[in-house]
Amino acid sequence: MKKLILCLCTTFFMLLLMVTNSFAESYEIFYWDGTTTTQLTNDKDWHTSLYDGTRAWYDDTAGQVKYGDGTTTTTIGSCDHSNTNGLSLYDGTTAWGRGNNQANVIYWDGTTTQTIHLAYESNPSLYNGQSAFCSGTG
Amino acid sequence: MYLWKNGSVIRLTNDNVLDFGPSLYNGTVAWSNVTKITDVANYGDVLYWDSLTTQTIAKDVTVKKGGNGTYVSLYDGQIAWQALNGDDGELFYYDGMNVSQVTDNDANDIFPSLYNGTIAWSGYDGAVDHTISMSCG
Repeated sequence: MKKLILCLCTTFFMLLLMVTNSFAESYEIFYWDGTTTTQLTNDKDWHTSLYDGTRAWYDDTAGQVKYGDGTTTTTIGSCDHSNTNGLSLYDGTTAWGRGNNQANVIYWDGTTTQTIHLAYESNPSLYNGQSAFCSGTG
Repeated sequence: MYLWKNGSVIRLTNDNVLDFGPSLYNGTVAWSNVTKITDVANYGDVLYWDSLTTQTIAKDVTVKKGGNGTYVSLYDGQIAWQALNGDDGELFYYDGMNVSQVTDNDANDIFPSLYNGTIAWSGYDGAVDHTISMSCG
């Protein structure tokens, strides 16, 4: 009886276990100065935004949103490669899209974050305290 | 397309096409849309609203099959965007007068960010991380 129960349990859990293969493309950041192209990163960075010598980006290795002012790098949020929807930087403030089914926009004012969530928000763009973004049904 | 300004949300477009990926600069906005859907790819335009009128900067830009639109980046009347060229994305740049192609390779170049005539973007480095994960259903 014990063997039967053990066998049934094993079969049950084997059915529950799903082996999934995921292929995550690896990207790096490139920069064009108007004439020449150079590769800026070599550690799986993804999606970047420029502003006056500063940069925000998704760090795919760490799963984090980062901000660099040219001297120091600050982690300002979390991210998932398959779950990110745009990134925008303006004068030390950053906004990015996060989520799939319940997508929203996260806004970082340099100190704290707040969430913009109306329906299905993604791909924000910042300018001087204003933000444009997509919204609709997911 | 919506604009969040001083705590209020303003609707910029109200049409029957999918508007996507806004980029904001000093009260002006660039974005893309999807105007044609085929079995091979989607096609759309790159649009620029100068706070008074909307201009079409590029027409029939190729977006991947099922894609919502293309990514654009606006800076002071200049616009960078990505478009499919075969199977991979390439970058294009509008300097306010003319359109030029910034990249031309076999890598996937996407998500441009434009700042004062310079562009940063994500480029596929050719590596593929193959991970096998197990999860309980």
